[in-house]
Amino acid sequence: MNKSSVLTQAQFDELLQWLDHDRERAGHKYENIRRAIIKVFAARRCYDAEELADETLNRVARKARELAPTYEGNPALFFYGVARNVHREYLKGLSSRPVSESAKIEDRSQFVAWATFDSKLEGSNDARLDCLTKCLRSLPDDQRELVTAYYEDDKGRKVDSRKALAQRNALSVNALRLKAHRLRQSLRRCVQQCVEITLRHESRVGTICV
Amino acid sequence: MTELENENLIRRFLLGELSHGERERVEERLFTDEEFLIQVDAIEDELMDEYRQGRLGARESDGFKQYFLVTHERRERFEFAQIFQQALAESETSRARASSARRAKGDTSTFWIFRRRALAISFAIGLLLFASVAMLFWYRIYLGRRSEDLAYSARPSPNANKDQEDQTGKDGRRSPPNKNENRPADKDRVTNELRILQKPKAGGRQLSQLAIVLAPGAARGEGEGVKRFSLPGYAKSIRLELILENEDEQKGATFEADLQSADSKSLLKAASLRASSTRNGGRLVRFNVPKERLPAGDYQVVLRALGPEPENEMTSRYYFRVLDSPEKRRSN
Repeated sequence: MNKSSVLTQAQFDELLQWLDHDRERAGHKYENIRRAIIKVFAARRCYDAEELADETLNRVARKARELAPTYEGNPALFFYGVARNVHREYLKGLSSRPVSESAKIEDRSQFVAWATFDSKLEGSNDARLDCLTKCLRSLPDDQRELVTAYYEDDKGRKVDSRKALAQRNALSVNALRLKAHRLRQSLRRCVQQCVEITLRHESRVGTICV
Repeated sequence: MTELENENLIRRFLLGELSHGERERVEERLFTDEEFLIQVDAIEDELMDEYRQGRLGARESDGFKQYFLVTHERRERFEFAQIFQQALAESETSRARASSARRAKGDTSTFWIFRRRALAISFAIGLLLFASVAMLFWYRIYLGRRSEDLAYSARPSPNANKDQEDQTGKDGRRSPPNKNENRPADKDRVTNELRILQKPKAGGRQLSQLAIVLAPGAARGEGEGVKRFSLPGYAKSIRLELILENEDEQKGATFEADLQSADSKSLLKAASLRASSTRNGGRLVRFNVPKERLPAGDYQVVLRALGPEPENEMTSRYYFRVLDSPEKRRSN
């Protein structure tokens, strides 16, 4: 598979323009499409799903100018079509490689995947936990109670306890799931920011001490 | 498709377990349904938690290890899942510790009972029941007392004559009736009705005997200390309860009662009557009179106590006036 060259700003702007005339909405749609493409490749057991997703996006972006005036329907489905082509090429590329090499690639990817989070965890677990505690405290009471009740380990009574929680909050089980997930995502972003700030502060202190 | 079926489909999609056709349908939905995309994200988080908690089956666990953590973003979220579960477990542990410490030292808070909703509701219902029963008792006692008060107010009071004089002008003419003039009659009517209401039921039917309590009076004459009452239509007979005030009277073995009209004409006689005790320790003689013998008008009862010796014979007089019945007054 030939990797496409880097995308220009103009091409990227044209892509967004095709997705939506409102730039903010276009950016939101672009992010959703990217997430969907990554999930497609991950479900098809591609170890470099993000790289393949970027390749898909670049190919569509380069065609956006000529597509926009004539294309009818939801542009997102065009991305899906291109992703399937990219996947086909990916499989073709894998099968053309010697078996030992492709196996090595898969092993390496898996190893890298596990090694990455293991090493990261050891280094900053305490700091992240402190940050998470702060982030949890910063949530309004009802939201904090909802997110902790939804995700706490209830020793195998998850279905019943979530049903009861949904009833208490006058939500369907699915609406509760989405609400809890959004809260969890906001906590994750909060922790990321908090850790960055903590690390910056620690490095400044370190410089002064030296 | 139900929520559960949808969830199962997504889980199998994420773990690479779907057939080609099923997988393509799910993939297409990822591009066209934003809520579905978020739902897939949410189930990814739940899979991560379940894997960390060791709650995935062997097949799911293998799928998770081999294919799930293939993206940078998922690995990051998996790291977060670890600290998130740790934080929740710590908060759960601290909650459990606090709760057991509270149980150990005994919760002395005054309103601890209200922390448990079910207990609080039971308590409120109990309180309400208790209040209702107490109100019922109080009402019954109040009714009884009021009945007695009104009944015994049928005695001419020592000031009765004076009250009547106050209403009569110096020239002997009665002053115009004021709005309080009918009060004694109203009181009597209330008394009578209460007494009827308090009669025990016989065979499910209300007894319709009306009891009138009378005290002996020295005075006689129109408007002087005479008790007045009306006889409602539902009263079939009248029981005159003649209070004995003279100790000597009470020693009499039997009594004779004679109902007389205003001009002392005898209307009804009863002999060999016996005195009974009242609840407040007094004595009275009961004299039953058919209602038809008491049309509206002034009456007196001459009660003669017949002692063992003729010199012990004593006579008391009880004066009363029967007014038109309420029904008749209304028709007039």
